[in-house]
Amino acid sequence: MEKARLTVILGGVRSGKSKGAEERAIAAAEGLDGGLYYVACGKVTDEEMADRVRAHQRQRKQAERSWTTWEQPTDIQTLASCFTRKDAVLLDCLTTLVTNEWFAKEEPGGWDDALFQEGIKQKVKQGIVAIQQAAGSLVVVSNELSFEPIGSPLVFHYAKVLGELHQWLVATADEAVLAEHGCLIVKKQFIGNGRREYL
Amino acid sequence: MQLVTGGAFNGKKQWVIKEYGLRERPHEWHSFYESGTLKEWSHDTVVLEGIERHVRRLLEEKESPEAARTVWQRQLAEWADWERRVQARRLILIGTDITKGVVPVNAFDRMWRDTAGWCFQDAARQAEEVIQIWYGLPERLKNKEEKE
Repeated sequence: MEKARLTVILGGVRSGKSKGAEERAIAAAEGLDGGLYYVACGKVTDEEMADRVRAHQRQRKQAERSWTTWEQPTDIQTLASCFTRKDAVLLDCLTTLVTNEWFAKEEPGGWDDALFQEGIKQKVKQGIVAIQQAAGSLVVVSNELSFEPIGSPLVFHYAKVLGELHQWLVATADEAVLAEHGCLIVKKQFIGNGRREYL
Repeated sequence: MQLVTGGAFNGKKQWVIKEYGLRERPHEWHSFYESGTLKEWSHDTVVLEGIERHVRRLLEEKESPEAARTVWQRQLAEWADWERRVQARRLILIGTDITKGVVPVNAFDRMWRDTAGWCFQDAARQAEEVIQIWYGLPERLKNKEEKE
């Protein structure tokens, strides 16, 4: 089955990853001449979070093409039927999606079970694949993992799930980008005929 | 000697298995996450995984970064000698980079992080190649030709 072109952009906070992702999604929408969709996974839990959301909204309003926003903290696969192959979709961001899925489960305390962790991973992968099969282009944003010694078992397992998802994304993506201080470093890019080159 | 580094959960181990054909090639794989005691090596290809964990043990034993580093440097020199004795021999060190990010609250962890930083520099100096893995993609920080 044909799949949307996939771009993954990783970076720290304030690294310019969202901006880079928006530019790519807009370019894709122009190429496809279809809709431009923003899938927001963040949940507004306090005023600081609301400010962040407003800043991103302002940034998107200034763009020439208009965005349609879907707020989807969990279960992104349910959105797949909303897209067509002419649509460009931006998912912002994988880190919050994993967090939301992690804590959405009924039974708290199940997280140290390998099945629980594998379940989250599979669900997120399936959601991304479902959107890829429906849309024409997909850009996924995620937070770069930290490098400090890992403390608690919860952080260990969470970082492991996220790291493995990042590995999977980078392996399957047509383009993989690392954002650092507003600079975009292309680590892998699509060069046509199904080929990808590592830079 | 090869040093393979990168952040936690970036696919370093999988990259090493693939790059050096370890599914087919007989080799010795020692994980410092499982044990601190190295066995006698009986294969030409040896992988030591989790060198930052090994550095932590050295630090626990020696109680000072300098003393731990002295032991580490001696070990590196011994391993390089082992490699030089037979042409087919190859030692691959895998280490998780723990040197970035928030400063640890715990003093011992801070000392560990510093010591790991120095010890990785020593390993990089000794190694012919240094490869940093970013979610499965390799970046060569030091190439064979550039060996001092």
